[in-house]
Amino acid sequence: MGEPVSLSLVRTFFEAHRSRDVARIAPLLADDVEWVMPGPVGVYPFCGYRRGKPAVLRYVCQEVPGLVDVIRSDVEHVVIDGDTVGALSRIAAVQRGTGRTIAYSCAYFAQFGDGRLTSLHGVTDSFSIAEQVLARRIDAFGVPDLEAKDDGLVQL
Amino acid sequence: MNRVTPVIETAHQASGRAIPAWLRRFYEAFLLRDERELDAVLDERVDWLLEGPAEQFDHYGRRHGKRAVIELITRIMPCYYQPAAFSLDCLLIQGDASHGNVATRIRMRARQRDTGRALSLRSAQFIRFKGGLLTWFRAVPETFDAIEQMVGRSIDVSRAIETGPTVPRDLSLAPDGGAVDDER
Repeated sequence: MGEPVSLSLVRTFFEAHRSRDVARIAPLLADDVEWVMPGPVGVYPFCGYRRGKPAVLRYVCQEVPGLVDVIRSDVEHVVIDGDTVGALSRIAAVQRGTGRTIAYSCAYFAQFGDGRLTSLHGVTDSFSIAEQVLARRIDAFGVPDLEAKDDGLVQL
Repeated sequence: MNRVTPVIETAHQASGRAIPAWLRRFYEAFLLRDERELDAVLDERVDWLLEGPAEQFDHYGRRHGKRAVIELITRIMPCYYQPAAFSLDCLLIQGDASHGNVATRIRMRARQRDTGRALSLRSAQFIRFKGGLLTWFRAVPETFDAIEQMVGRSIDVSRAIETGPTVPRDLSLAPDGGAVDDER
């Protein structure tokens, strides 16, 4: 493990992340930062793998705000150990286009070096997110009950 | 009770950190579904939440109290799978058993009861210990992947995706005024 991360840096990072402000976030990212969010990319474009400061800035400051308006992002639990922090967040966001609100928990494991984020691994209840994004229950056991319209999209 | 020897291992990022005995005891009791050990490590009023679609898989959801959590681990979860091993990709610890907080990114290897299929279930776990007992447990599983493994097929929701607004491509993100690489 590297140099211990301070609680103040952790706070600064999460506040900057919440702001979606490039000028606040950029100094806190390592050049080769990794951002990993497992999940169904096709349903929830937040998921996937980003590497490098430009890609992560684009993700945090453009791609996410382009899809949702995050109205709450509360870090409810934090564990700091050495250079890494584990955080449990509760997030509420309004989906642009539909106006639907989605709420979910997200766990972050963020590693820092020289005062900057070097990697972040997220874990979410991605099934719940998918149901909320689609505004319908997904029957895990049944035959997919998606009723295709003429244009191939489902009536939401 | 499961008689299989529990496997608890640390991987990559967690490799510098030994699993303390008080945490290992909980994980072993979990894997072995050992009621006596679970009774010894869980607080009487433990607050437990495994996030996920509880209306379809009843091992997900909230449990209050030791009895309910022991029933979950020893009787309800085994209806779905038999846990065999934990692999901790990341293990963070503040404090100790007397007053400790734990965060783990963990993979549980298990065998599905009905099909015998091997499962590898990822989650993040946040655990609090007080007075040597586990008092609070929150797990955020990567549920879409877990459920696809449990039902044995991919869940195709692609036709239901509503195309959202595209990300503007002309916004400069470079705080220093430099160009931003378009990696897409």
